[in-house]
Amino acid sequence: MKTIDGFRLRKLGDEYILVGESMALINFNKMITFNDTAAFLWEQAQDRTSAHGGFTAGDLCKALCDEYDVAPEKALSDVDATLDAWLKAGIIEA
Amino acid sequence: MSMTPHLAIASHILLPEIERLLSEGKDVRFTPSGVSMRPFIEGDKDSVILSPFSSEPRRGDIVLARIPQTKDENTYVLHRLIRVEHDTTNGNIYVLQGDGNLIGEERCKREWIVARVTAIERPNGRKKCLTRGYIWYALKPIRKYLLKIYRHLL
Repeated sequence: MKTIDGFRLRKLGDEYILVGESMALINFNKMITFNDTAAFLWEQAQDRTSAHGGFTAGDLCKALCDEYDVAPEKALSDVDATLDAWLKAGIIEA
Repeated sequence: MSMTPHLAIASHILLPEIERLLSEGKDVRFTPSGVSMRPFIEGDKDSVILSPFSSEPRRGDIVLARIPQTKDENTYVLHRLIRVEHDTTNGNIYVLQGDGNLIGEERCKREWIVARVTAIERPNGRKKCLTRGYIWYALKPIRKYLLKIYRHLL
């Protein structure tokens, strides 16, 4: 999977938001709020997309387990649910 | 995680961030709230594109202004510049008023005025006409009735 270009993660107060952003225009109409975990996963996904051209659910699962104290089965179901929502939101592609 | 097609971040957090981005020379699209710019901007529906000033603010511009309330508290308004009062000793005063307001003006210093609206868009993305509001201003004496009619048409 790949993250779609043109989005940038920003921290506003206690919240993370993903904002649609081109060179000249920052679009606060096109925005998604993230919790800490989702923000962490997004950064992992975006880093892997730019470094390796894509990422897998397994990559994110491993990163999540390394970073947080979470059981692998729980991590996998969280990652699956998150990726499902991201696909629907159109911010990643399969 | 949730999709938020409209403003979901509290404006006291979002607007300082918007101001920061504008100061970097970026344009910003967002959806303002409230009825104070009726009939030209329908709050929570229409969105606006804000651009940093490349020339001095002029009468008729719709502007974003940061108005200091206390030492570390500001409010932001998106209103129309209706008059510039020239004052050579203390600096010009920029007087703002919402097109949808019957009374109330904001008297601003130049440095409080952050950006100018360069486009207004409907929810479907189509552009609305960006006028300077001169005719609307001339109709001020009957604004109360025009706004009443407008609300009925919504």
